[in-house]
Amino acid sequence: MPFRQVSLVYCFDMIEVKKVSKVYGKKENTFTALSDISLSIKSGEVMAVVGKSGSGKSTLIHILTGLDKPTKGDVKSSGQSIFVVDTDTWRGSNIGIVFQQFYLQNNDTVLQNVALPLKIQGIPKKARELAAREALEQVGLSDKLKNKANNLSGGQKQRVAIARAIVGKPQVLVADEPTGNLDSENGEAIVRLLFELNKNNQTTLLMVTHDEDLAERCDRIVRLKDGKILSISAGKRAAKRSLGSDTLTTRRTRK
Amino acid sequence: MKKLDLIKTANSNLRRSKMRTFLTIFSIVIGAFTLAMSLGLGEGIRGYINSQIGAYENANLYRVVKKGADSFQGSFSSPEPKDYKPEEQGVVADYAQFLLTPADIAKISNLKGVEDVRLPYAVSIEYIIGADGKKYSAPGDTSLPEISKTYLAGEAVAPDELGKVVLSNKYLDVLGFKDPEAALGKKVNVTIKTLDGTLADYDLEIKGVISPSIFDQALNYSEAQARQMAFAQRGIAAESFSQIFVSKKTDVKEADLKSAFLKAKYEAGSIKDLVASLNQIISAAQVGLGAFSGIAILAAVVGVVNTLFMAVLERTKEIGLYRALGAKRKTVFALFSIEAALIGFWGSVFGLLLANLAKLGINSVASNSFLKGVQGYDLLGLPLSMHITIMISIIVVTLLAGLIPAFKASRLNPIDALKYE
Repeated sequence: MPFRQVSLVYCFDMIEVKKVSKVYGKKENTFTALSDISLSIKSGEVMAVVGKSGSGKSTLIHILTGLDKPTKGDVKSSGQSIFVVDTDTWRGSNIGIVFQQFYLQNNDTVLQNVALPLKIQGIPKKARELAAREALEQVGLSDKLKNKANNLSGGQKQRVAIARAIVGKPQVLVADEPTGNLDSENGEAIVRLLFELNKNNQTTLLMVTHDEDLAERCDRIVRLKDGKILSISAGKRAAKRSLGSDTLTTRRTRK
Repeated sequence: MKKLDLIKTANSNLRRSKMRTFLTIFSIVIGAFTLAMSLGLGEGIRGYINSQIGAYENANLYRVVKKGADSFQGSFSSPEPKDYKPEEQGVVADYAQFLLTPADIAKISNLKGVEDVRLPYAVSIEYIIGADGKKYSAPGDTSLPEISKTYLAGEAVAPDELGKVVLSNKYLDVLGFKDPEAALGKKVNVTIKTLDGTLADYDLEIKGVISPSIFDQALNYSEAQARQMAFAQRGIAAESFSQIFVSKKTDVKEADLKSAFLKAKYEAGSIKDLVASLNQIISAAQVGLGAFSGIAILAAVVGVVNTLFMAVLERTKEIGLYRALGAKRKTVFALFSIEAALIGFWGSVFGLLLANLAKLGINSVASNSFLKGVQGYDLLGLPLSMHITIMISIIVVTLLAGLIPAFKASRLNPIDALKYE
């Protein structure tokens, strides 16, 4: 397929959330975390999910990544329900997750931490280490391969976590409050890195955040309140793109 | 996850809490060691029996006793009134009925399938005179031609040959012979006490020199020679036996011979039967001892369960991470199950290593002290098959013990696991 310049920022639905509700508890003691949410995440876009604590951000992310099942509704990837296929394998090969708390294995080396998802997928050692080195190069930590994870600074730890999330070249990168545990300087560096990865790898980026300024820098902003979508609006990045300053050249376009 | 990666990861997980893993494995080591020691002792005894009489298993020789004599307990139980049963009469019920008399022997020689009857005359000698003029005790027995001996020089005595004897090589020194060949044709002076209390001398010519097995005595007489001496010693009483031996005609089946004996109210058992019943006793003892070791292993297994439950708790977040990165429930389950099996593996490896070291020490001490002179016998035997059996059993047991914690780990909700504090 020849390269084709497109004026559209995003090209097709990567993940579709269809009328998803999530209710916790039984009988009288129920709590509705999500109520009838529908949403589609486009290929290559940067989407921010914002909302206060208890608004349902995390629940939405958990359902969207197949870590949790909806009470009602469905999530589709490439037109197929992710709960019909082997959800764990689907998540392992299509989704990269960056957590607020890093979740690194402190006694393992940086390289081992980054290679872990590929080890779980059954990729041979040489190949997974090669991919891990590449990922670490992208996050600027090529010189820390052999360091133990617990000897790194907070910013470095989050970079390792990002490298671990992108090592399998996922289509969607989900970042759950990625700057929540970092100071503003390190937080900004991490945000820039995530935007860069979106641009260079054409990875769809879904970012959960409290930070309104950060949300404004994305293509689209989904605002949640009490488990419902309050609004879906365009961010500054989308406006920039539509002006042609950041025209997307991509192989992922469909006719 | 690839199988090899699972095993490597499980093994490196064990190293995280070194002291806890060490203590858990150590408890398995104790269990494996005890099991190896108790089974090894049985195996050693079994090996000894086989080395001594295993070679005679196919000998054409049957030991004959009166029916019920082997299980005779008349002296040790007070009789209760019982109904009269004709078929039970004539069976040994008290000590006097125990012995096979000349009438019995005549009846036995005429039984269908009996080729020859061998009478093991009991002779108890007073002493033999050594080369230095000193008196030595020397137990003797009637030689059974069907039981082959290891001859260092010369040959066997025929059952009807008088005045000849086969000597154990252990007596060469005291009799002043420098080697087995030198003893052949020489005489050994045997003194017995006769029925009237006087001493009688027999000058017996050495016809063969043997390396003795447990069947062989210092002096091995022909049946005729043994009869002569036994008669002088005990008179007519020498003609009664607690057991005699018979050989079977080649065209008669063993089962037919045995049933003919049973019909005539005797019992006949081959050497194979003897070995089998001895092995059965040893196996029973092994099972008994093994059961005690099993309790030690069971206690250790409780430790394995505890260790793994602790590991699941400590690594809850990690389990959540694995699941978030795409690991299936069965991968988590396999990881913890393999950790359990590895505890069993390392425990049995070190336990068996320790058992082998102990074996070397114990066998060396035993062969230099209370087993001195017993050749080709190790007190403890640990064959390869036993190593494999112990290893597999312990691995299976620890694996089974690990299933519950592994199941718990695999059922953890990834979101709750990631949030776990």
